[in-house]
Amino acid sequence: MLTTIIRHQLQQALRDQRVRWLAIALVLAALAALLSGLARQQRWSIERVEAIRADAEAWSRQGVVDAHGAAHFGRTAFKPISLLSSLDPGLLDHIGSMVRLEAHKQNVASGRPSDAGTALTAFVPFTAASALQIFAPVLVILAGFGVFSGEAARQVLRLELAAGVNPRVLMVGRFLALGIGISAVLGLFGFGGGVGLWLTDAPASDFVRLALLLIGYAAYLLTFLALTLGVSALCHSARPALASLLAFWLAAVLLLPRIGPSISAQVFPVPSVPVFANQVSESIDEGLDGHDPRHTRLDRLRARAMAQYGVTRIEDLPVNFSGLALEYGEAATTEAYRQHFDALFTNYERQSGLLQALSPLSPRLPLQAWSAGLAETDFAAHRAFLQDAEQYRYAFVQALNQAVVKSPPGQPRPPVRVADITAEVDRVAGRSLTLSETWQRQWSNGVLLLIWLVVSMGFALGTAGRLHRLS
Amino acid sequence: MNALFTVIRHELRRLTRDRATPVLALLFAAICLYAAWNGQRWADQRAEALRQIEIDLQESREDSRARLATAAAAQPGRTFSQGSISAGVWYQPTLPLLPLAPLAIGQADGYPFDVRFHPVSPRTLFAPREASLTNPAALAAGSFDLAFVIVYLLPVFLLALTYDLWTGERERGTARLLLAQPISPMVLFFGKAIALGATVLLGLAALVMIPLLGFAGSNGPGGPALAALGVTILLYGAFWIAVALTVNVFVRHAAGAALACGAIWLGVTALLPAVLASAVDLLHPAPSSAAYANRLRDIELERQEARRQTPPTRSTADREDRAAALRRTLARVEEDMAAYAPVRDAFRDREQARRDFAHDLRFASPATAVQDTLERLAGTDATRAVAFQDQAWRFAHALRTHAGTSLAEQSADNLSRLYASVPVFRFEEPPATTVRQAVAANAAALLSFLIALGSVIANGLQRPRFLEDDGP
Repeated sequence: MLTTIIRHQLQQALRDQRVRWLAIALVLAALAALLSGLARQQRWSIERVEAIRADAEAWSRQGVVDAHGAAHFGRTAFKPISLLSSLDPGLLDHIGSMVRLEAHKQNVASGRPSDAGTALTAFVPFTAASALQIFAPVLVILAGFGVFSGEAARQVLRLELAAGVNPRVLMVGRFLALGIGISAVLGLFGFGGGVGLWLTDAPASDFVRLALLLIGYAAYLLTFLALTLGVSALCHSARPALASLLAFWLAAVLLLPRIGPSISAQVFPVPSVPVFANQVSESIDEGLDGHDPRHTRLDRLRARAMAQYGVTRIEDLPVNFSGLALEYGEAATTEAYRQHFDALFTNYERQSGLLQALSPLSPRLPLQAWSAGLAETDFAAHRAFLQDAEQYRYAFVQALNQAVVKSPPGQPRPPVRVADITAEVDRVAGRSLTLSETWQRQWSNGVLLLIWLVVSMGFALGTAGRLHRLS
Repeated sequence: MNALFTVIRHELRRLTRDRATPVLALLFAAICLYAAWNGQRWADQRAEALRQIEIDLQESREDSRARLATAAAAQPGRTFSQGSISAGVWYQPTLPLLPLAPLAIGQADGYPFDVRFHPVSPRTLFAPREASLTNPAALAAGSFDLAFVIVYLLPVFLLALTYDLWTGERERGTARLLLAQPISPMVLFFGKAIALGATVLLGLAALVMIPLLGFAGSNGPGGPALAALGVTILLYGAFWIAVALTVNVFVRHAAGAALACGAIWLGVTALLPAVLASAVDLLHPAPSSAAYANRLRDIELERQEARRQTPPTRSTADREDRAAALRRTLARVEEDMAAYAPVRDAFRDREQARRDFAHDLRFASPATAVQDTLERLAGTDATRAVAFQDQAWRFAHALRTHAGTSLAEQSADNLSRLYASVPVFRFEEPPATTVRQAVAANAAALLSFLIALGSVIANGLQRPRFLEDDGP
């Protein structure tokens, strides 16, 4: 019986010209978006390789110069772009692609693709992820809103139930039939993505990421399918079923993901750029506790250095004191920046937490986080890159400061070959989050998606019991 | 004409009796209120940031003046020139907000609203500046302002109240009775459209404008901007009512009409702009910021090398030498800037070409044309932000010229006056005609969409099939 229902429903769905053509158009558009995303990812990757080479060359070209001057000349770290970003670019357009690394300062990432935009930038770009997150649910609704309500209006449902079909079996059969369609579409993406990963020699973890990503999308779209069938089973005609499902889609897929970040930004506000800069400056000038001015700290350092080397005058130190001061100052400014950036990023995480708390109202909220997390295009991946870049910045600046420490005291600093000094410092590689780190951050979103699926399936099964009344 | 008024009166009575109307109106009012409040909150934060910059700048100049005053006290007879003072302080030109800023946050987070530089060390002119520290997730989601409400949600509410304008009559079986009346189908159809459309549209437009004006208070926007906003909302709303009419001419069932309206809404407000944005990315990709940054570093190295080979003459205590040293320094900075200029110009030209292409594409969808108008009226558009960057750049150059030509020495007693006479940046708004032309072009695009739909409706009404009735 179940097989017959599935076959019958599949035939009906395939015969529906409207759904068939819309599905083909959506799949083709999404695959085109996937290819365009892949082209963009490849372009960025090539640009990154070239930029890293040019940066290293510029650093070497400095030749023999003042070590601290070189620390101010600085270097640049370029963010790696994951291959899966072609499927879901996540936050890539709104987070910088590079960080300038220089002495005394921790810069924010720059080179955001969304910078220097126009009115078009205010609209969500068409990507494979937006096709599946925004447009695919509409297709699911169109395919399913009339499954029961339409049949009830045409008096066909009464005939089916009179033939002795269990309403729950009918519901499960139709769910499975349309679910096969959804799986086929996602399978296409899986195949395309898998081939892409294989061609680029991606690590095995990327295949796992792709699989998990598609499982998330499957849960999301099946949730919409179950809700659609459930509502269809509740409505006597197709019109209220369609209206209520589109209203839900509008609220859950478009409105809430837009209003949610706005609400969370109000609950956990972040400072403006000048206020943030002032806070950092104050911490650097007055100490992290606000009661340890810079000159007092310098006096302490002077006394400590003289005690360490057993001298009573700075001029008698066997090392260059300005180098020691630079080292100490770098450590202090780094700590000040670290604390303020940590506070800022903690606020971002609180905002994300609040957004996650709104997930019971919209399955798209956990899916967005899940998808961007697995594609390594979320803020956690960006933060890992920033931390890596900052570690490198600190290491190379302090290596240069060490050269100043070792320079003859009481004399003008002799220039040094900076490339040799920093050669021993590990170059920033742009660390990616490991799969297990991603999982630790994303499992809760996976659970939320699962809860949405289970609850919506329960709803669909519950409404199946009312099909007799509908007929 | 009497028949038309009768139809309009009848429709208005039905609209007011419909239980969905007050619910939808209340919901829309609440959304508008939140969006206006959110936009105002953003504008207040930006205004606060601008004030903070001004305070910091004044404090930094006061510190600088106090240091020089102390030095002058320790060195009697020391003199200063306007040029040396102007060349010795930091500048931070800012882009002010327009009164309608809460309407659309637009591109405000994508362009810096300040530029910080020192006349003799203008390296920071090239450093990227952050416009905000907003969570990237919030930026990616898009802002919830009145522009979003107008572009996305106004059509939803308009369509919700008008999608079954004629198909509803068909399904209720009243279409047959109405067509049997001695009124032409054209009068009947447009009478209903005018009654429903105008009432709903004017009502919703008022719900958008009231909170915007309420939050703006006494610093409200000027009449022309408000008029342009009103006309834009009405034209855009009229486009959506025309969409509902078109669908009702060709579709025979309310469910089908709802589906068609929903599909068109999705296509116009989401799919088409998204495809256009992707087309811009594909056909005019953004110039590589990484390559730009590296090229600037190359030039910096070249300039360093050039300076190493010709070390600057150190200034002495002698007044004439000080003036000459300042002139030499400023000339060196000009040389540096001239070396950077071709790279910067090439980068900005590519950015501008991309923007021009995107600007042209906005006419393809009424939604993008309206978004562009709203951003221009709010002053958060790309054109204004680019004009600010260009003016700040020119100001930096003019400042160096001023410093190099204002070298008459004055006594330390005049320090306060010298600091007070430091040049001040004032943003000159782009000519009003530029904004007007763009807004008018967008309005013309909307009007042409409206005319196209109008002709489709008129043709559809002539079809014999329109007069056929399926019955209840």
